[in-house]
Amino acid sequence: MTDELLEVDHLTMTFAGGAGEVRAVDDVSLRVRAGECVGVVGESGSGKSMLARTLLQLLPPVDVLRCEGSIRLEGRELLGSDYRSVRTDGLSMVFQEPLSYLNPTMRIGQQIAEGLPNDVANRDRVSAVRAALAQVELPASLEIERRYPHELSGGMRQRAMIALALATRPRVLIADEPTTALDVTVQAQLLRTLYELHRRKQMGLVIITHDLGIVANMCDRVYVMYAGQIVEEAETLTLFDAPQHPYTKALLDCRPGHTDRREVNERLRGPVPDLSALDGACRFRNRCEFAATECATEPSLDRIGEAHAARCGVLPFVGLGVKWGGSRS
Amino acid sequence: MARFVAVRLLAAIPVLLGVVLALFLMIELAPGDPIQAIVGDIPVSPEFRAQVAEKYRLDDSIWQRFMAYVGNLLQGDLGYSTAGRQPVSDLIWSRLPPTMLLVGTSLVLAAVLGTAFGMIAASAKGRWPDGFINTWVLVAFATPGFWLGQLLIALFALRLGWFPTGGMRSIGSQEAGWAGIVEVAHHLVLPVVALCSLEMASVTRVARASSIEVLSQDQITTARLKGISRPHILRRHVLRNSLLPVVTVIGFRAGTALAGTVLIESVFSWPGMGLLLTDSIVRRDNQVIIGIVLMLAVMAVLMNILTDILYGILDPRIRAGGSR
Repeated sequence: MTDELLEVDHLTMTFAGGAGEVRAVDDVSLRVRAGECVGVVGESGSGKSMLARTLLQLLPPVDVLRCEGSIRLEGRELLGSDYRSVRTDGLSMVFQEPLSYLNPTMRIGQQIAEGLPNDVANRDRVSAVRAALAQVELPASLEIERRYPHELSGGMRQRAMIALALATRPRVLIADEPTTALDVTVQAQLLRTLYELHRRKQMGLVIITHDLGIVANMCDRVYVMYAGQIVEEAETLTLFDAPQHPYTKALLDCRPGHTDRREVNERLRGPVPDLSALDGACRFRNRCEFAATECATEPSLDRIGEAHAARCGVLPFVGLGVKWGGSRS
Repeated sequence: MARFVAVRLLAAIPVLLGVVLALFLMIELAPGDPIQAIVGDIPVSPEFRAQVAEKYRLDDSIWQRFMAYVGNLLQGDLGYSTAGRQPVSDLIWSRLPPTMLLVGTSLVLAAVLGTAFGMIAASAKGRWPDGFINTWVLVAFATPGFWLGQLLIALFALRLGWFPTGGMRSIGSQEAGWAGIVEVAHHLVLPVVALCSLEMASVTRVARASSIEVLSQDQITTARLKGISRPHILRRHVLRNSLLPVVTVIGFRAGTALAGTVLIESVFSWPGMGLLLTDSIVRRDNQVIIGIVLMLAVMAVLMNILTDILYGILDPRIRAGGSR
């Protein structure tokens, strides 16, 4: 497949935690094609934000021990290269809390201008900033470029953040919980803007979220993360129709309005495993309703269909013809 | 903004009245005889004593003298120097520029270099430049300015002869224009080093802590995301965001610098208000003492107002919240 923009293979990021080495990202492989929207879902602490930061090498350098594996953008290996140039051309990111991720003492326009490529001449910078704001539906009449972050509403701030990320002209944009801090009506508008932008620019879009509704509406393919690993990957429809990993199914059953919700919550009780003290068993075993003796060894991510893979030693639903269509919202 | 400044200035009036009252009480409690100090160290008849007391109204109650002083103060009259035989305000005005020069230069140096050192330490946190700067800060904190001043004189003035031992100009010098400026600057070096050492150390410490804090904030991640260089991040993003605590500490160190200048001016015979103050204390020239301390208090209050204005300039969020 030649249209793959971002190819990540066996990416592992180890950092020094309180109780020894922690693999916050463990053997993650993923693909993003041009114009494709990919979701990464998982609960808090599953390592999805760490994955995003590892891709952009935006981790606090002192804590990170190693990054292994391969991150290729349009065929170019990024790991070990000068990351400053990667961030200025190719990969960019939008964060969850625009207020804390923007400089409070600098006007929005200046902050966006800093991300513009160097080949934009000085006299074109003002119009380039205005264009960046216009494409996230902040019209020039609002003069957002002259405002400070605290003068904007949450939705406007996040739009400004997207404009800032787009100023570097990324081929792949990673959005880490882009709407979690916003109220629901603003969420929908912002996601639509993001979606239309990525389609129009044929840009790869990675949405990191715990909200399966967003995934269902926007993503072509989904990666489910648990305890630093990818436990299932599938096309969105497949994932919602026939989830194979017990964790994926539990996530789907947790959606609001689902009948078994309380029962699932009960079942999912129990901690996410401590990544510094893994025992070599399946990481989901302590919370899994299908846990069996096979689960004492760590399963591998096995392909179970075209574009569908799951990391489960039991794979309870394979061959049973089980369809979870009833759970689609 | 104008209204804000006016309110702050009005609020300073009770502060200054309190300063005057406290001074009156303290001088009243201090040992020594002002009449003897006025006439000199010679025996005098009781009649003459009474005459002096009458002339300077020394027999009035402290309350009467306080009211009289405040009354005169409101008319811009700071009183009369018994030792200098001239109005206190004339004395102070003649001594103000050297003090402003010394304190101003020290504070500007402390602010600029302290911030720079603090940011260097923060961005090299845990490595040798940080350790070096931290050690220096500790040493500077533990070194009294007047002692440092004497060391500087012993080494750079007496032994090496690079700088004069004291004064603001050479004795009998008539240099004017550029040569005069160079001469004053040459005399200024050692007292400034002695005065700003402590202030620079405290600015450095605050700037370091504040820069470390800003460097750990999410907004720095965004700056890194934009692919801008580290020096650029420090200059454009860390500096301004870390400056608020630095401005606070400078505003507040201005007070200690003004107090420190009293000793430093004595050590270096710098002809400013500090030297005048120590001289006046020895001569029990009470009106001058009060006048100078009042002047120092006014300068400290002004520095505080300046600090608040700077806050608003540095941080647009404060600007929006304050009265305009």
